[in-house]
Amino acid sequence: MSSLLVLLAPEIVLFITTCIVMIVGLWPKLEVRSLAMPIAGMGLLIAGVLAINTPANPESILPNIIPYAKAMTAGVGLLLVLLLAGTVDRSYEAAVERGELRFNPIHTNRAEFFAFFLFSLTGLMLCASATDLIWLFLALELVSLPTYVMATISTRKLRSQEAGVKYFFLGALGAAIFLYGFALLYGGTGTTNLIGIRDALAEQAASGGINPIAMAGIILSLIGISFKIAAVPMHFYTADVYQGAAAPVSAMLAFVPKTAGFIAMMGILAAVGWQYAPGGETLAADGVGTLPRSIYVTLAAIAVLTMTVGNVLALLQRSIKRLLAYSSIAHTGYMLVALIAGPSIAAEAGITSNGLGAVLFYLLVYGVTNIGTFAVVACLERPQPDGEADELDDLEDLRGLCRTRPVLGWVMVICALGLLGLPPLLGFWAKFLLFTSAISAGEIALVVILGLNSAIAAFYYLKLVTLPLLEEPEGDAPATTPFASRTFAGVLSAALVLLAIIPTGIVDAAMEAADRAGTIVPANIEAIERSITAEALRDEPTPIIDR
Amino acid sequence: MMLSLAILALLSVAAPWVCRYAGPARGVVLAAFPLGIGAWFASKIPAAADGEGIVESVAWLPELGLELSFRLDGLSLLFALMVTLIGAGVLLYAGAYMKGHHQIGRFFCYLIGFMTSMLGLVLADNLILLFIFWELTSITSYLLIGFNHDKKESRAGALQALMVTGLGGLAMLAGLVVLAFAAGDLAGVAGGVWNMSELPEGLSGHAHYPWIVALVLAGCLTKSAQFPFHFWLPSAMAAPSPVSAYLHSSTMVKAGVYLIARLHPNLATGTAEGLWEGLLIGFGATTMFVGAYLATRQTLYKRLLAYSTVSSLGVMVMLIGMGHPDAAAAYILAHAMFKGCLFLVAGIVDHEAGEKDVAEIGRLFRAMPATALAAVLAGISMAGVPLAPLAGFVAKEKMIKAGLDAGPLTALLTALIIAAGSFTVFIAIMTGFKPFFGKASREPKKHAHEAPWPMLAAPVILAVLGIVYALVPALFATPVVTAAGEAIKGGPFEAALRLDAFYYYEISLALGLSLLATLIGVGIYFGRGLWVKATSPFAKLDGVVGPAKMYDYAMLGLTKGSWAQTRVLQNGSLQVYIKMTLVAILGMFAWAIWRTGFLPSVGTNFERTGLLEWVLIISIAVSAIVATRLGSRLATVAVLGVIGYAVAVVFALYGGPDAAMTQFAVETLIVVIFVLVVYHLPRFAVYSGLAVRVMDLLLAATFGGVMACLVLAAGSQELFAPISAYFNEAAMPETPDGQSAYGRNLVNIILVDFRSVDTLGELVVLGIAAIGVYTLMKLRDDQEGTPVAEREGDEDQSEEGDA
Repeated sequence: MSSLLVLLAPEIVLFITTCIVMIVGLWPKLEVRSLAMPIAGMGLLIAGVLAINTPANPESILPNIIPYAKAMTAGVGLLLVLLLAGTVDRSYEAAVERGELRFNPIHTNRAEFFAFFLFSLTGLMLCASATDLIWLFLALELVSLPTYVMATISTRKLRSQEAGVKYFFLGALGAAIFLYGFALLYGGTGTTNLIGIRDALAEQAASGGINPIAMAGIILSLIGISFKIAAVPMHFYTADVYQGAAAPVSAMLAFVPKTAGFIAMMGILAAVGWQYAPGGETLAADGVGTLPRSIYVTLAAIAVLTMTVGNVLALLQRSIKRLLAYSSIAHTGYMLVALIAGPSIAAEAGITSNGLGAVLFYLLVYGVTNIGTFAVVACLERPQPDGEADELDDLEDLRGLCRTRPVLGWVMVICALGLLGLPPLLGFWAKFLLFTSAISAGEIALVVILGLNSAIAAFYYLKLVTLPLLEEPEGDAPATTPFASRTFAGVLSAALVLLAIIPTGIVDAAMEAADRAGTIVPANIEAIERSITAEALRDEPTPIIDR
Repeated sequence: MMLSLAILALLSVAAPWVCRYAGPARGVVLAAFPLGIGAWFASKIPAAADGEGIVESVAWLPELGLELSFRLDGLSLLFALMVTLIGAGVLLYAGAYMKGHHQIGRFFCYLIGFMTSMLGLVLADNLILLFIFWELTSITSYLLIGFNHDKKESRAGALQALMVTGLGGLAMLAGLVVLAFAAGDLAGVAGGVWNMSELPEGLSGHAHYPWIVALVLAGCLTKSAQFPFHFWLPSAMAAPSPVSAYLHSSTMVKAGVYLIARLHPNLATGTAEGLWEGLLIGFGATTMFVGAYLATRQTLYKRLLAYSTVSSLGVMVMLIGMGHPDAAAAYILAHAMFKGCLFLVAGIVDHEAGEKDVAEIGRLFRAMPATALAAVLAGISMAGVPLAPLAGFVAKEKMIKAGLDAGPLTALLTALIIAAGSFTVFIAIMTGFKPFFGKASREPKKHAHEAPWPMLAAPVILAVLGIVYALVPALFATPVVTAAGEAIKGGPFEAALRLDAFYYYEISLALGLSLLATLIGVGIYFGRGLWVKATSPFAKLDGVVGPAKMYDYAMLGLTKGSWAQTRVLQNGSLQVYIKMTLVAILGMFAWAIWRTGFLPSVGTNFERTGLLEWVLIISIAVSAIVATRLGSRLATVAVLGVIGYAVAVVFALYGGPDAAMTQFAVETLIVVIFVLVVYHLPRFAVYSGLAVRVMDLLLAATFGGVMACLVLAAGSQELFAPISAYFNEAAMPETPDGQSAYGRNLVNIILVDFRSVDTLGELVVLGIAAIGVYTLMKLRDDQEGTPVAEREGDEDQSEEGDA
């Protein structure tokens, strides 16, 4: 019990922060109300520090993932908090400050907004801690439910409400599907515990093949979770929602649910394992294999469709947010390739072969880079006839931005090149690891498709580069929002993207986080658990199947 | 070496300031740096020539296999000299050429940035480092081609170049990674071998060898504009002339050739039938012929040169594939001189006479004698006129000799070489002779005059070096070419290389063929009107199915696809999204079943189904159907409620009274909430036609059927004991180990014992909710008399309530 509390310390801190933020955000005094954002940031900072020092959880299917995943959540969360400043209640608070209105907590959303944000991040952290399907389901829904509201209330425009409704309904459909999948998985294995499922599946595979019910459950789970990561066939909402929501919220939607979904997928796939004989659902004799055939073909189809659909749809976009939304779909497809590759089981494999580590690293890089691009959108606005400033969303608005707003312009250029994966920016290393891990798993065809897609992506990312950098500004320069922290978030992201020279530490952390995931079969569990308690993890050769 | 790269990188960043403060001297100031670096490289010729070369290495990201490792051997040296020395000349030239351009600082920043990347590319020993520089050359070249980005053709050309080379580059990255892992396999190094100098023997025997060759060549052939990827190079001629001279003749386009040469010792199979050699000879020979042929139909100065460059690149690839590294190296060096010179001359003619079309101009000799001299020398060299003691002649002799020594392919290759050679002679006359001595059809647009000295320096020096190359080869040609050739071959040559022109002054078949090619070329020049007419049917064909057209079609297809997808799939309708999702899920199931044959067996055991169950089943089914047919929302909600209650009865029947109670309560609550909400909504409206509804019905029935089958399948197997047994046992007070819960009411025990913390949590939630409700009620009281700012107030409240 107490060890569980230690593992959940970051979540607990975040939850307490959430409660404080809720109260503070409704305070009658403006000075106190404005503390909502700093307090949220402080809570994330503490949670992050706690997360780094969280021990490995031997009862988890991904024993080492917790420190990395939670620290990543807190870190990107901090950037997001900076970006989210001033998203809701802007004109209302301004009116209160001018003395035109008396403050009434009923009319303000700030408390809820930041509280929902923290709830969502708590859910994400809980996903990383999950050891059980029910836990995983609740955590996934805790991630998503607040985001439906956030998307809806992020602007006062009708399009936000439309976005919220679409997001909610499709989200509910996705949740229903993966919950159904979880139920079937339970039906096929007799347990909801992920390690229990792993053992049951390994046993079934060793004795003639995996139960088709369990297999159908896994496939349905993966399809349902594809909503969270914005993958085909549940990607339809992405563009509408990202465009409808305010840019800071879209930046969050591109990271938080996606990360949660990938962690959930990793957990489920780790329960299946990557050591099945090619062409069958039974274990490979040498222990080095792939995912079971039916999962493999499903995921491969999803990966290929996802990256292609995302990239092709992005080609014609005039809206920056829609473009980034489709590119977000494409990035999901890239990551799925490494997810298919899985952690390398070969004993002496280097870190370049670990697909799960590659995904975890890519998520971080994508999250940070993406925040940079959305920060630029969030910082630009133009006064509307109705008095409320509306954020800019047309590619043409970027024209000559490096000249008119140099800081924002360069943030956009650097981050777009980062998303493109131009070496030696951070994005390149992330993509490079996808390449190496997939190739070392023998997925050369998928990598070639990935490469083709990256080239198509250049077509639209370059618009985000050339328009600000090379073109001459036309008409009035767009106005900027009065939130220095948003610009700061963008600059920070761009700095991180440029700081690609020393990603070793983070890569190591990501790889360590994915270490030993899903590579264990029952015969070796006891040995592993002993080695965990002895804390001699890294010296032990990774166990392989010895059947 | 790293120092030289650092100096150039800094120079690139500093270039705008240099341009601002150095004024007209900017060209000289900027050119001094690469010149100095080039001199340093020249001093390293002997050191680089001995097998190992000079190595510098700093660990960067050792875990990723990345080292900042550089290696200067003969091959690198040849390219490094071209990059720095021609680069210095081009900088000097561009200083005058770009005079008065409002973005001149930015231009030099890009150009020197490119120089840095290109130098890094040829020096890098690490595969990842090489790829990084490779991509940087692509992106700087993109910026340079599109430098005059207010012109549409500049933008299109830049994007086309980047798309083609970028696509190849990413394929190459995959190839390099496969190569590194395969090498790791062979060398027994975990994590792959990433340094090219450490690649093991025997790669051609590896299972992934075809992948490596295909993917690496995809990068090299696109970068080096080999047919059918050649079309980007002529389009890239929208760049300013110094850029064309530097990137698209001497350096960047040769990056692919460089990498082919670099990996040749490792990837070659040693026989002409090998995959590597076969592809190189096939692509190279085709490109050589097609490029030269296409050039004959051009009249724009730079496009002529561009197509002829395509042909030359084909020659280089072919020569490497044929196993004549000495000929390849000799040709690369010679080509850099004559083609670089001619491109610069084209720039001068454009700049000083305002003319781009060689068909129109002539008789410029009087106005620009020095330019004409350089052009003629370079032209003769390019044509490889027999017995002219110029670099081009030597290279051509070596090429023809190689063609005559090609085993079973001798006849074919020699014919292609002679044909391409004839076309090249024609191009040489058109570019080196015609503008200066030929007939002019009209006066030049500008008053033609000689170029200033900084623009003349590079072309004249390059032209003169062409003579030095062939007359005094020992001065620089022989050592450089020998070192490079040996690096490509992967071992020392048996005999010393002969690059002096007089060595080839002998009556031989090669010389005769060369003479023949020259005569044909001259013939085409005089009959060029006829030639254009004779070949126009092919040009028409090329306009319909040619590679450039294919690229356009592909781009158009992508855009069309994007448009169609947006209209059909992303039309913003939630109904369509849901339908598409369901269709896709069904499709994926079908795909998984089709690919793997996995199929859960569906049980149809209805023995235990009694009358009551049948009643429930039928009432659920009927309710579901009725719900879809009703016109009123309230009635629909009520009917849905029936389904919920029926499910609750099922729970009650199968021993779950607590679940049944919960279900009853929840169902009632939901109906009540529904009624409250639905009350405000309008009646149903029918928006869809019959066809759509039938489709919807089919989709719903299929999806429901699949889900129902899964339930039946799950229900038909009993894998494990029901959990109630466990709870029964654990709850009993009689259990011997004393771990029991001491209770008989299972539901109570679960609530207060097994899941007591959950219960506590639920109580807390209820408490918080109560506080929330109380707060809201208090607020409602306070709200009286407050100005209502926005209507949103009420909505917020309902959200709060839901949460």
